[in-house]
Amino acid sequence: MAVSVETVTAFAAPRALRDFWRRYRRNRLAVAGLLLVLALALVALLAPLLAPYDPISTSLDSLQPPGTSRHPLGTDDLGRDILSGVIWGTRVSLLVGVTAAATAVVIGIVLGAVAGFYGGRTDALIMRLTELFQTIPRFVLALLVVALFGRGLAKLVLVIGLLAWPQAARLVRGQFLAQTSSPYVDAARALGLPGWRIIFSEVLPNILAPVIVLASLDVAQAILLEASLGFFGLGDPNLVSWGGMLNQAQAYLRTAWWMSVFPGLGIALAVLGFNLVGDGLNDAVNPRLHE
Amino acid sequence: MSDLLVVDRLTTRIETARGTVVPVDDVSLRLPAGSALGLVGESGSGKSMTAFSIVRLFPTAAARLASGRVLLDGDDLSAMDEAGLRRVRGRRIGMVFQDPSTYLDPVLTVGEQVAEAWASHFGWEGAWERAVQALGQVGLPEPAETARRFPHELSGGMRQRVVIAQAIVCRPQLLIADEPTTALDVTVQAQILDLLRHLRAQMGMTLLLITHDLGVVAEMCELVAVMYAGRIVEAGPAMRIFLAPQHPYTQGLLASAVSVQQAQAITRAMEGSVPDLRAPPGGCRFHPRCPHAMPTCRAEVPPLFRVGPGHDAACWLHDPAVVAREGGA
Repeated sequence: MAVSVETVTAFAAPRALRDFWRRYRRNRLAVAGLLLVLALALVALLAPLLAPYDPISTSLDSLQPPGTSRHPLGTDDLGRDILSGVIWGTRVSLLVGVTAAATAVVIGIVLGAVAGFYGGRTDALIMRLTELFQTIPRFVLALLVVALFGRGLAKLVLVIGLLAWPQAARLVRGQFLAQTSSPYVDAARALGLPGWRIIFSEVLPNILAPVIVLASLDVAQAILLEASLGFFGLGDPNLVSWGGMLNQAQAYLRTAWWMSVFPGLGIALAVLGFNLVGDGLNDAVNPRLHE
Repeated sequence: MSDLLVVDRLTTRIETARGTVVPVDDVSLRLPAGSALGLVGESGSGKSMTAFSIVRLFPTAAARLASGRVLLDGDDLSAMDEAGLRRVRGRRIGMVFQDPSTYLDPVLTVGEQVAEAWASHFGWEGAWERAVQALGQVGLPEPAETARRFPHELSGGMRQRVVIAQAIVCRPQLLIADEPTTALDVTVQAQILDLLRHLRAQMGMTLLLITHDLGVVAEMCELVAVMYAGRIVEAGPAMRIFLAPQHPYTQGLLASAVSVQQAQAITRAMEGSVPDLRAPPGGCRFHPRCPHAMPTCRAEVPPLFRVGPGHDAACWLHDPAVVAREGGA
């Protein structure tokens, strides 16, 4: 989130930014979402300091219910501390969510911009490609790719990013189509600016707002997808993740509810936070929708 | 004096769903180096399309050059590929457009936009200093400060100065100004015209000024070309055309212009309007509105007749044989 606010500052007038923040602040849910995201980011950053135990070290205290001072959220079947697992899991979820969304948005911006700016055959080709990607059920393909190529963190990010770009590409293309007919683009052509410079330095800053909105929603989706893959045992085996903890908890749903509820809560809060921020940004970017 | 810009029998076509439009039909222009030519005509006469055709920047993908040549200082622009033209645009030919508020990118500072115009031809080194210098040249106060502002923080006249700074930052040989003052207040108009005149003198630029305002042409240009329905109907030295117009269309245009000196004279509006370019009238395109129309005017396109030193008019009234036969009014 901090990243997107900075991006806006870099391009827009300070006054526009102040107006933007004023509109954003008016939406209480959006502010709550922002606080939630900031809190999660803090937890992820400070995980080594906050977690009372090493999340993968086992102990004899297995399946302890929550509420004890030694294990406030209980322990799992191997005696691992749930609280520590949830804290470290925040790191994996946010990392995968943000980097996968960034991958998707960057690919989407480049392909969408090229399609919208140059039009014609290039546009048709790229748009058919996005449709192809959108017809494939995301989750099934993700399962297949991870099962085939292994389950490292980088691979997860890449898979999720490669599956999520079409949405960004279509958004950016639409925005470029609208902008390309603006006089300032003609003027840039008349000044002899090369195409890539018109795309990235003249037009792109104009359409950043909706892209940032989409990016924050993409983060939520990526977190969910990563958790789902983890739940199916396809997460990075060397890292503690919320999805992976849920996978562990399957066998103990009836006997140890705390093993599934707390990681599940983590997923729900992260997804909720990023969705609220996305909606809030959207309302702040298009104030007329609600006034 | 050698010609900086030669437009030789240029024709541009636009293919539309309802047929082919020829907004620029067999247009020839000559601009000696250092001169200023006013291209005059009503809306829809093809004067802006002529400018776009020179640098091949068409507002629609359906437009293309059909025939003719454009020579800039001897280089054939019509034979250049897109990459070659890109190096000409902005660097050798600067363009100024009508509405400055829409021709600037709203999210970049004006300094960045002027610097970008320089940098896309000469690289970023020193581009910002160049931009500030150009903003000073176009008369913006405190150019170093103003460079850091966004377009919406400036007035219309200041924005037009920024657009002009973009156009001149690379010191082009030719400046094409398409209705540069139409969107501005009258007082600001005068300032912008002053600026263009000043820059022209200072930098030795050749100017192609496109306007419907005859007063502006009289102030700014030594040469005039009058366009009607995609064709040049009269061209020559400004003084001759204003004092002794030889084409009935030019005569009508001048009669419809208000002049302070002739305040008591009644301004006459011309009958009719510019024809539909999808189906232009045959022969002379002006004949349906012409008070002197003869049978030949309906049948044949008039060539340009030499009517004085450097002064041509495309009107059958200047063919003695036709007049003798059909007895022009």
